Amino acid sequence: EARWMKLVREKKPGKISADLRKIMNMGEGKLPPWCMKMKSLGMPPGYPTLKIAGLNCGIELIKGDMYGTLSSGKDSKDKIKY
Amino acid sequence: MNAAVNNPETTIYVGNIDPRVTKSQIYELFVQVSPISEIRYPKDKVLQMHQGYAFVECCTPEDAQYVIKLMNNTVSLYDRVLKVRRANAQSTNISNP
Repeated sequence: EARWMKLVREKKPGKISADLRKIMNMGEGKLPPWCMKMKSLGMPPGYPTLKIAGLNCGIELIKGDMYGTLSSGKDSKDKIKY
Repeated sequence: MNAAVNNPETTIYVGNIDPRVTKSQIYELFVQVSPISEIRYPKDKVLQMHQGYAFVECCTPEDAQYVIKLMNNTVSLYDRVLKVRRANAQSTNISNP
């Protein structure tokens, strides 16, 4: 489905649109509510390279709609490899 | 619509969703914490409204377990707290370890 492919291309971990922030009640420059829980549960097993501001990298990563990033561009898509 | 569960090991149930929430928003939210392979978000055929729940499919059982622990009672959309549980196959009731 074309719409699904578009979603997969556009929506990435570490970035939350203004649209979704609004209904979550989460302003720009804020960490999403699940990040606190990551301190006890650990980082997502599906994203071994995920960096989140203030958790496993510097707070300066918080910028506009960003609060984290997948450090390597292409390889960490949907495939799990060990 | 029959919202059958493909694989109960990798599928999570998300409940208490405000009907204004779109499928894109559910994807955007859950892709933050796990790769997502599929979302089923049934609509009432007559009312043309979402029914308040969705099935989100992760890639591995490990991802699904993690998402349930991390996201249950964690996020509110339109001031409604999302409930996240493991999706049980219709008739078989798999007990949690």
